Amino acid sequence: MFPTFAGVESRMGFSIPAWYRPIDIRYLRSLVAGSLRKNFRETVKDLVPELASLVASGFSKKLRFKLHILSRNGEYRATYEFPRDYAPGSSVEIELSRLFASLKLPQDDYLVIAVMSRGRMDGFRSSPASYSMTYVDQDNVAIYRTGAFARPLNEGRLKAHVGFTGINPKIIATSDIVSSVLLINHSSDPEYAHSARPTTRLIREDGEELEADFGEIPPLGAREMSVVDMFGPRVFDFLKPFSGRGSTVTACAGVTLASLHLQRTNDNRRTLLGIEHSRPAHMNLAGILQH
Amino acid sequence: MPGDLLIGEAVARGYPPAVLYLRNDETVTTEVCAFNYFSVFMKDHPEVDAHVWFFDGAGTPAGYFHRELGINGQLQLQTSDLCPQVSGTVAMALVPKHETKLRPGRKVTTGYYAQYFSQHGAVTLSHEREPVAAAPFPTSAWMQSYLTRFLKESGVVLVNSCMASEGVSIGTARLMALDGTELGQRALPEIAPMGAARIGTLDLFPDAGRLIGAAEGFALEFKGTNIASPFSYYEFANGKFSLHHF
Repeated sequence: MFPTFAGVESRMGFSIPAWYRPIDIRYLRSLVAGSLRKNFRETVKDLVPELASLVASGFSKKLRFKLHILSRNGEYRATYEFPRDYAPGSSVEIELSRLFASLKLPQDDYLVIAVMSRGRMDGFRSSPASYSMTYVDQDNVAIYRTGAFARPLNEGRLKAHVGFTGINPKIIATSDIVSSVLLINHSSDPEYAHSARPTTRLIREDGEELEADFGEIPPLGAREMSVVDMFGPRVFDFLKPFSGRGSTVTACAGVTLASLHLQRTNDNRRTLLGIEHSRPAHMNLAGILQH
Repeated sequence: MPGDLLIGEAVARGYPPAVLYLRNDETVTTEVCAFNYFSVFMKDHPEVDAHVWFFDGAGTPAGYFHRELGINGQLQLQTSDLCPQVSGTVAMALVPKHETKLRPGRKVTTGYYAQYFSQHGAVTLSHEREPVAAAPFPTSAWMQSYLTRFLKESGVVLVNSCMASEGVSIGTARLMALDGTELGQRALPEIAPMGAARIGTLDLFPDAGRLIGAAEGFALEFKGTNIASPFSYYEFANGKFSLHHF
């Protein structure tokens, strides 16, 4: 699920590596291991469509792609299916602003859900490559890339989430740059209906902190908040002793959220300088450290 | 320096530093950013040591930085203050001060970010990439698409994340059309352990303009040994620099 920004050329790309195969022994092994962790009904529900589509495709190595376009409030707008399929070694590329115009969608901020004909439900190598989002604003190019995953998210029947904690140590609030956090209330369930309401703490190097309401994120929607939106203009003075630098810790109980970190010029969010997705590094600790 | 943690020791203890590209020159400076997330999740023992190692493009050690981080401790490190005019790799590890047992066979790779500041207020971001490897490893093919209209400005940064002395990275590059047709192939220059190289697309494939023709995009593919996931970049004549991992 990717954001687009009105007035900014937004491109989506996906290069399928030459080595990609829809199924191999490692994948089969992880499917079996995953099934053993579920009950019989859920296993059948997950595996039958997966294996049936594999057989129906003749174990084809080619992938097909579809895009669903949503408003930032999570409302469905349109669907676009790429007319051809793509073999390993080839790349899918689309300029989304042009697509929106061809679909008669007004210029606006959107969310795009990319769907591949084949995903992998395993935790290991879920994605054969990374989706690439490129935002071009004259000669400023901001890119982020992230994998495609076929896993249950915010879907109660399969997975109950403890909550979301997103950490951004790249916060800047200066006369030149203002950081934003963009959170997506995603789900693998099309009927998903829960709003999220995170809170954010802005922490500076000496440990002093401010806390703010991030605001409501509708189901399947997204919300971008700059540190000025959240904490007001006082944020500049607050971070000034530390060269305008700080960290945010954003938390929300009961749901998992996708999190993007944006650096924008201090011009009321008109220019996007840099973008990156957050890392769940701290989450990995849970499975690695022995207590 | 005495008291410095050796990078090999961090790897052996199960906290391999994660690598990123380092660039400090007249065009770009690199800021390393991290937060002590151990303190969010391990309330009883929140303190960590942040270790940062710097290497130049030839993999020669170029500096070391250490700081203790407590509860909600954070780091926004201007690496150009420590190693100005050094471009290569940076590797970082957060290691808990309280000895913590790891599950057998597991390791903790540090999550952190770099911000690359360039001319005209441009800033580009990357999260950490692969952990430093103690032994040579194969690199399966990584491929990424680029915009043809920025062909002259485009290129790749390759980082060798292997610290073993025999871990020189070797590999091949392929210039690909978006439909998967191979337009060109060549060997990559060797990169020393922990070193890095920034290579323009036209330096790799001088004839790329003719080979790509009128297509809106093209792709580059890299594979070989000891190459961490590559970074694509665009560097414009006005000094704006944009980089991102494949």
